[in-house]
Amino acid sequence: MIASTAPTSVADAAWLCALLQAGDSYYPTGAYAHSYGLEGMVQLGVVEDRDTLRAFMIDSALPALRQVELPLAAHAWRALEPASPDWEAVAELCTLTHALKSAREPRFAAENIGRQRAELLSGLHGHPLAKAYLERSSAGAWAHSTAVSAALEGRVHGAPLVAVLSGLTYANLSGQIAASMKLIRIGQNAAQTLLTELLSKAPEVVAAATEVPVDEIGWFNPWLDIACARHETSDFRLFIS
Amino acid sequence: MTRPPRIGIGGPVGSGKTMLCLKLCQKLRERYSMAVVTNDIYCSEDAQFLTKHSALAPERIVGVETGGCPHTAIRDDTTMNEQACNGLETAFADLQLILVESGGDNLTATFSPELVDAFIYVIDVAEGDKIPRKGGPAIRHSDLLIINKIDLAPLVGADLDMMARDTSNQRGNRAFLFCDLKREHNLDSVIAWIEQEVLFVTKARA
Repeated sequence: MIASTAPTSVADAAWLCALLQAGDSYYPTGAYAHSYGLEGMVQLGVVEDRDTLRAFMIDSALPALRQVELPLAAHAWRALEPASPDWEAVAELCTLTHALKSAREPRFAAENIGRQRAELLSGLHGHPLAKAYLERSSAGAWAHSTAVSAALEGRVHGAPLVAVLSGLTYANLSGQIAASMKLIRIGQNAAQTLLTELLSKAPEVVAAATEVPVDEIGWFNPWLDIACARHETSDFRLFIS
Repeated sequence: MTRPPRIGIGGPVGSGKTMLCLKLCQKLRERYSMAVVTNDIYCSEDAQFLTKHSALAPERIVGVETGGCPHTAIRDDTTMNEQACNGLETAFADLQLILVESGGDNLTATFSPELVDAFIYVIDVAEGDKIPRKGGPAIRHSDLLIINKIDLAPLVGADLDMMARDTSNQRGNRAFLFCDLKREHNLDSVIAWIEQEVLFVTKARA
């Protein structure tokens, strides 16, 4: 048994439940329609079974989280300090998110999911920070970002940084594993054992991500980008890239 | 632990999945100890059909109600079907074959490899002869594709030659058969495929 290393209080239940709601597949963000490039890799024959899926997740998905999505969310969380948000920094992070997605569909996916998360957050909670974000993003024509919206959710709910990054990690990994069950022959137990292994790496990934400076955010996998770009024009597909 | 081979049978509503189960039971029950698990979204119509037609002894037919998401029950969370199969395996220690019939679903439904050993997908010509061309995981990757009700092709204007070409384009060397299961046209070929590709393979592994 692993002992808890941090005190918890009843007050934590509020942000914890709110993050669980935002990370639930039932939460309507459109994320279920995306494979995050995985289907493209399946169509290229790179991912075809549990072993090759594991290699993809460890060599591609985890580094992308550690060097891109989580650092973006961490910097956004810091910039969105409710008492004095640094809107200029938030805008730069939104632009950076857009710039780091070299294939068209993943860029639009980040835009669409990020916008939906922010609008849903504002609609459900009516929080001034969420409303201010939407007003400024609209006025400044910012590109929306899944990572920035996750940070906004964290700030609105009063969640600590590590919890926000952990929730983002879980949603990202479980989303890709769930997609894999539709794309390759992998069963529920094989999928869960792989997800469990990946989640065991979450503490080190989250810890490393919090240390990445803004000017070092970025991770490039040309193979995945090419797969995403080709997947856009595939004859048939189950997912958006 | 070894278990009897399981064959998943999926396909759209009304394509002939239950008819295939019935015919396989009628043809194979004297040679193999069999059981069937049927999936229906909110009823047990298919299990009742098989029982009513004496496909097998009633205790060898189990109905599972999956609710509104039938593909989840055979692919993403197979717990209910796994429990039904385990119950049959416990009740009948001599089982040699279990058929798991999916609820009627769309072209994206596939079976978990942890639930079944092989997967037959059934479509029919009356759904439109463009279905093979649409592809998708079931059309492309099922172990055997059955295109059923070919007797209706002239009546609905289905072009079987085109369906054969489209199917070959989608599936490559994977097997497919044109059938009229109700009149048992090509049923022997289905059984030959099962015995060669599933039962024999399983025996060899064992």
